[in-house]
Amino acid sequence: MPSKNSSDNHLFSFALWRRSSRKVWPLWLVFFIALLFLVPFSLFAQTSAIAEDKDQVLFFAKEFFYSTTISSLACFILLAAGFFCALSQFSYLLGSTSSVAVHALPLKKKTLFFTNYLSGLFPPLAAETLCCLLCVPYLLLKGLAGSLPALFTMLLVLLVMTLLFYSLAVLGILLSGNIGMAAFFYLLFHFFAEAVHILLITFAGFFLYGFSGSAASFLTVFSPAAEMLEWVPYIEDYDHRAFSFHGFPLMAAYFIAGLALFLVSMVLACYRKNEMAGAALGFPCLKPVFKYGASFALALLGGAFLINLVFSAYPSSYVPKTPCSVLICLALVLLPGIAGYYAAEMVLQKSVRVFGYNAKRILPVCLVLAVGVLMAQLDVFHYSSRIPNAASISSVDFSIASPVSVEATITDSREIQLLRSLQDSIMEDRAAQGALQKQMVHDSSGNPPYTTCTASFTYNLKNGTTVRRSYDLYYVDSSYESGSKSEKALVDTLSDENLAHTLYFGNLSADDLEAVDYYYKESGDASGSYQDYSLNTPSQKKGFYEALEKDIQDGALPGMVLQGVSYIDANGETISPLEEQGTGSSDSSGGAASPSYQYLSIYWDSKDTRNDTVSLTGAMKYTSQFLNSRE
Amino acid sequence: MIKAKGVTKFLDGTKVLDDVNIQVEDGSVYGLLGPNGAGKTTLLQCLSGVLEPEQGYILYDGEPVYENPPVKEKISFMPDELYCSWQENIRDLKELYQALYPSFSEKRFRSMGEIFAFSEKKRIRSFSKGQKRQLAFWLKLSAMPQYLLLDEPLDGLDPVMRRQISSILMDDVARRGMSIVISSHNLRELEDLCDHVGILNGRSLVLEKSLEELQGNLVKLQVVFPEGASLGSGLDILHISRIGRVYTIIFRGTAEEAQKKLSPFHPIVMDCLPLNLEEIFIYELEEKGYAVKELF
Repeated sequence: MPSKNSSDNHLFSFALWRRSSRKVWPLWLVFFIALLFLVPFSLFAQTSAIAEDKDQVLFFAKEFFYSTTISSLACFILLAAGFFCALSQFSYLLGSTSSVAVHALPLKKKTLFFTNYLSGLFPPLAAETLCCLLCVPYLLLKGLAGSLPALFTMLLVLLVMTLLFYSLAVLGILLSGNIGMAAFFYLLFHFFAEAVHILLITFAGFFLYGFSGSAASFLTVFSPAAEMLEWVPYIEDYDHRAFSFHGFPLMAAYFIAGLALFLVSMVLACYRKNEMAGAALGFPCLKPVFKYGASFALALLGGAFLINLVFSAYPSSYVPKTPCSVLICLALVLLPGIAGYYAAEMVLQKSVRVFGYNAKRILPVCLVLAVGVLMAQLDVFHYSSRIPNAASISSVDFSIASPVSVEATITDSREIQLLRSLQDSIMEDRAAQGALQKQMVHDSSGNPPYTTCTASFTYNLKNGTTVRRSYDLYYVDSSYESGSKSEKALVDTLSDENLAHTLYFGNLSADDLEAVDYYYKESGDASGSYQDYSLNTPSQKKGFYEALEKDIQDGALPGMVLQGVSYIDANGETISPLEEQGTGSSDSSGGAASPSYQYLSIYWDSKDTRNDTVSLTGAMKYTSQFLNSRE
Repeated sequence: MIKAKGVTKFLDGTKVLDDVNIQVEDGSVYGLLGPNGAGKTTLLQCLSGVLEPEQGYILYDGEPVYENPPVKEKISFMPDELYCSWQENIRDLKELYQALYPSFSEKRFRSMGEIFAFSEKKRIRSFSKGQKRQLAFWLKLSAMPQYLLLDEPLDGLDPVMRRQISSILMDDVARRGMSIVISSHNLRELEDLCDHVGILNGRSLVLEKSLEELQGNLVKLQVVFPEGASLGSGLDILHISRIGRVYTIIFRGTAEEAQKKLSPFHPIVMDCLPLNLEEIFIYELEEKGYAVKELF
């Protein structure tokens, strides 16, 4: 067969551009008007309403560009604009009549794609640029030139996100053959990583005791729409009215991703068969991925729902380990899995009569699900029972959340051993915990006495890997005195003098103390009082530190003398002080009269550059006595 | 010249065309016939470069058509439905065609505009089916194509417009040497236009001949036999029907051959009648098992 004529290699067709642009202008107008209201009009209206204080207006303008605009409506407008602009240019791929008519024109597929891609992308980019430029003269006239970097940062974000969203939408249309599937793919691309993560952790949480799924929070980066909504933290420092934008690396990554998606789409457009218009999928080779993907997704999601319904079990809790329960779990996962497979088949065949059609192909799904459920339920890889060998551990990040809140990195081998023993006790107590959880779920008294507590262990191993486990623990009595094995182990562990000291103070010493913010409530005092103390002399520091240590040794869990501790490190990470929890408890030790509830913020000096703050909440008997004696 | 060799095409996993070979000479009109679902539209889409055959190839003057704009510039394909966006008018489409087809003739567009008499500013979405069809002809023929591929082109046109368009088509074939491949179920119309015919059935091309050859290869006789006479076997009869004593018999071969075969039965009357394209189509396909079935 003769070789193809390659004389016509133009990538861009001006005639097609003109035609495509004519199609998209109504959309451009709607988008432009929406942006006009969102950016310049909104800015004019809101800055005019603010008093004459120029600093305040400047602060507001920066805040407006950095956070309000980008993270609110713009995200939704860009989401919609990306999809509809792509649809206006590539909708010919979704209908056989249009596909035939367009592909009969004397244009190469790459020319069609490239020209249409630009025709759809240009209008939103132009609208965004125009709207932002409209703000410039206003800002200059108002003497708000200081907010121009914020304006152009916002413009950059809008342009990059438009490129990314539009490219995702184009890819979605190319992969599908009808508008419903195109919209489905578009949303799937936005939330795929998060969705898979949620599905997997939900599912694994039912079977793997101690499973912790929170480690993959970085996945929001792969959900650009969600990431855009999260960009409120542009505001760095309200007190100093300073802003800084940390999103440039992410913007660069998204820009590259947008370009990569464009290139991938171009290759797909060249290889996509024209007869796929109207089909659910643009590429037949995707059919198994779609069918099995739907099957597994529904198996995980539906299975988790049904298991929850039947066993009243929540993630990281107890599903009984009996042969009967294994079979029930298997059935509860297979049922939605099979339903998912046939639902996908219905979408592909555009018919509900798919039962019996290639029924044998469901067998691999059943097999994989069965193996997965059995492996998880029988803990084939010893996930649930694994506690790393003490010799292999370099440190442990240990945290307890609610009602006691501590978080620290433990490196001492004796303390690490204590934590290993604690985890061991928790695992041995699994059945009792499951029973307790069921009790809690079925308790209809309206005033349940149950308390929950989350204990997390992250073992940093010497070989560079980590083992992470997290347990939701259930206790009948909020005083922690009902005596289950895990309760006792927890109280014993936290009562260990050295470990408690490490947990609450890390390696801070008395010399590091600088000042104390002391908030206390007398019995019956609703409002409470607040005082600052400076610890100026070494003896003052030593006296306070010793009092604090006594409180901690005296406290720990029994009687909930101490309710929590949190740090704010030099990077500003975390860690807001604990809010008041309940009404606090009375002094269980029966010592001298002390306030029923106290809250301390202890500021350490900056010798070690950390400038840490420790917040403690609870009935602080000895520190109260010390501080009161100073008065 | 259009040459399709061994064209095989699958749609959604189903073989729609199987080893189809056709050849359309320059300045000829090729009628593509076949029952519904035979693959005529698919073949036309392959010929126009819209679809790429899985096997085989299609050449225009030795050049492949798929993804080959210089070849496609010489082709106008008119599908059974005109596609345009909701806000386009005739001028918009004309500008597009003018830009994409180097041979587009403004003069032809103006002269044909007098026939169709549409306002160039009128939105196409407001057109009726017949008007859209006229517009398609207007634009496609203004592109002065060397090859015109038509899928059910005259559907929806009134008789006057049909005749008008047929006349323009024949004029272009005669004057410019344009080649036409036309698919239609209206065999009466095709008979007037075509000089070659190909019949697609069951995914394959079952017959490809010139109309003359086709008509000369079948003969229809109306015969009355003496009472009690019966026709034996081995006569190579394509079709036979009987009303009273009058038999209508279709033979493959010439009239002389047929008369010679029937003479041993001493026919009382034997008339040779002309066969039209519709009859040829029906009898040829009847032989392939596609026939009118009697339900009662």
